[in-house]
Amino acid sequence: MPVKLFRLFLILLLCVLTLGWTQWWVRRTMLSVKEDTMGKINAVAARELDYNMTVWGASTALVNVNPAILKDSTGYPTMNMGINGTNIDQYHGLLRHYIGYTEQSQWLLLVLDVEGGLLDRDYYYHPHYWIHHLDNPAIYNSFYDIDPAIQRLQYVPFYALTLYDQHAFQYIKRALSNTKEVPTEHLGYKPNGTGYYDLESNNKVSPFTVDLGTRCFEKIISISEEAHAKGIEVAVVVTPCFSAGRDKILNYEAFTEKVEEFKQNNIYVLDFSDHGMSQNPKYFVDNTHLNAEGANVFTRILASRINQMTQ
Amino acid sequence: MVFNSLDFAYFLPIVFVLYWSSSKLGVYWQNVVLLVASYVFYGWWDWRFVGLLWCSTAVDYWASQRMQQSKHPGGRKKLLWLSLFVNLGVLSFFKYYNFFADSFSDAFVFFGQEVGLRHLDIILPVGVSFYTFQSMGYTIDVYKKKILPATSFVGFAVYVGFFAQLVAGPIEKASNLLPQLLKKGTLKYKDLEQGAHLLLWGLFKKVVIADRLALVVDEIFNNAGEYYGLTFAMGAIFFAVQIYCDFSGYSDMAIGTARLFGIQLSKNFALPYFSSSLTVFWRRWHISLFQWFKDYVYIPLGGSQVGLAKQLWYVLLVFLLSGLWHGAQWTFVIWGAYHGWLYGLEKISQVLFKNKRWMLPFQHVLVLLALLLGWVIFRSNSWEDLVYILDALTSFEHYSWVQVSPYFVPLVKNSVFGIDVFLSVFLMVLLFSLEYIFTYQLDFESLPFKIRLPFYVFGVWMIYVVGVFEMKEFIYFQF
Repeated sequence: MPVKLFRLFLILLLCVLTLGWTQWWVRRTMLSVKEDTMGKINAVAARELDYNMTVWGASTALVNVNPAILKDSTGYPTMNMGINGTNIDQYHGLLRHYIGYTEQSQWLLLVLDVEGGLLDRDYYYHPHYWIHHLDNPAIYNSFYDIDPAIQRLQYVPFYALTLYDQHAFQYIKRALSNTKEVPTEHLGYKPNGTGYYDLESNNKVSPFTVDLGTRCFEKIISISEEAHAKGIEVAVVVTPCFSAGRDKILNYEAFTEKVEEFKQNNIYVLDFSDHGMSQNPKYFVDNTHLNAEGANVFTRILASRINQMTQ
Repeated sequence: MVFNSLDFAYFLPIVFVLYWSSSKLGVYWQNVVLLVASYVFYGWWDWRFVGLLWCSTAVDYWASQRMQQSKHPGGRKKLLWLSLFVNLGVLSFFKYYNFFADSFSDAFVFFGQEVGLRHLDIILPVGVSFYTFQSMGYTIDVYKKKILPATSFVGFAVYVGFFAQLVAGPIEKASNLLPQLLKKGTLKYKDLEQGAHLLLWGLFKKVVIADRLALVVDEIFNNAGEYYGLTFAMGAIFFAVQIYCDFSGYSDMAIGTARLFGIQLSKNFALPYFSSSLTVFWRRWHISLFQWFKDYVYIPLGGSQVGLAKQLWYVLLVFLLSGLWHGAQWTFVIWGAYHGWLYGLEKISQVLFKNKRWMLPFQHVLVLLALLLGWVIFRSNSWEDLVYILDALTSFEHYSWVQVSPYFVPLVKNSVFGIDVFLSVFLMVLLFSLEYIFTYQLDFESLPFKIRLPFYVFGVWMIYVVGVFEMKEFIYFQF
């Protein structure tokens, strides 16, 4: 029996050592990434990024707002912090962390799109961007709100390793092949090519309702309170929604009314969802994502509105 | 609750400790522990269906007891019909009502008539096809006087609802499982060791191989219209391995879990893809289901005692039923008919041609091709998808590189799927090499510890690092 127990102990010990080393190595690799979305998140988490104006949101922030144009027009050095697939429900922890340390910040632009801007999530999107930052309480809490199962990190050995999805492999692959990392380009902006809106596909879409989550709504208000306390202005920016697609949204009016309520909390509301440019399919790739040309047009319109507000 | 969940990781050790602690109190209390654990396990998914499980158990227990007491063959037959009516009634209502109602409605609409059969929002109870078949098998055996009825209701209830094999088999014959449940279990180191091996290997096959292959397979079959023949060929191979690892992985975990409680379940898979004929394949794939059909459908109809034409007809019937058992969907029925037809064709060819040794490699290839085509039918989401995929697979231009590369290359080279495709191929080679070596050439458990040690550590490491943990249910749960 002692031999069998010793063998069991040896198996457990070696498993713990290999998994422990793997977890340490993967975490170190992920923390070292400086490119793309993970690079942006790493930079904020490490307090290395501080701009006068930052643009936060999901893919509709990432591809619709060109920070270079905003800087040229408003004079504020600007960074696009758009994170694909991740609305305020998931990124608010990172934003809260940013507000906590920023010294340069004067404007936060919280970019929403009509279709998913106020959607309360029930699963983490691309957790591999975040796992190595879950020791940050603000980021951890944002994950906990989406799915309390994240607390397993605290009592299940090596649980973090099971959270990496297949998307994490590309970073590990690059680390193994020593590919030279590209520093964050385009101030976080990722232009969405030159595609055009497919009107035929839209015709096949049935009318639908968009989610107006109370959690997202409350998070925007609480974030703005923290920002205001540090003298930072907050604007909720609703991006253009292509008119034919917008007509399919059964509760569009309810969405715009909900967004207007932010004004009661001293938040600027810049709603471009039915702006004139949203009639023109040549600017859109789909209902809410603009192509590069559309993004430049939209950013100029946005910049001029900000200039009007600041004068 | 599924085996590849954290809930089960906590559930199993608790039940294990309670079960072996209660051994001092006797077999009755051991079975009480297993019964409560089994109902908790089943109720974790949806507690309302525990009642259904209990009803099925109670009716079959009562019917079998009355059968034993009844002196009249007519009375015994009535009790058997009652049991079959309840079990098949439950199965028909929950699993097939909508299928038949929709099919009838569609058929009448085709002939220009409207019938008012309503589509009901019915939830399919997990594992209902497994436990109803197991329970029916018991009453049929009691009716045929092959076994005596269970002497303990609790023991019988564990037989029907034992959590290790409740939701996806193996479908156990009462003659194997019941006697084990009615005698006191004793803790043996060998059982624990083998149980742990099977649990680890089953989990590896499920989360590392099946669920990783599923990432590619789902992409291809759920967006069928976007892909070409070569991609579907790859998808078919991946699905063949996925469904094998998913289901045999579950079976390994079920058998391993039962071993931890000193219970030996039947083998459900025996390297089916290494078969040189379809006859051999169906003796090695989902063994317990096909044994059930053989014992309770094929042999009572006449089995191999009747002429070849009748035999072929019965084989076709068994495969049609097997297709329908797998799911209330026409693609499953077609899949069953396809295999029934192939099986018959093989039987005829065996009569006409004598097997030669040099033909063996060709037979292997033919069997694999036939199986792959069968899996395409099985996996297609709809009739329309199936027609499209078969057209793509059989059109020569779909294999021309110029035509295919714009679709195939992005799938393979794409940063996400590229990794999954190459990793999947590596894992498939690893799987079949290990299974072949440890089945035919080496006995893993008799290897020195220092050789087994890296396998354990590597297995655990792969499960954590390469495993897909999106809490995917096992494919066979839906049946």
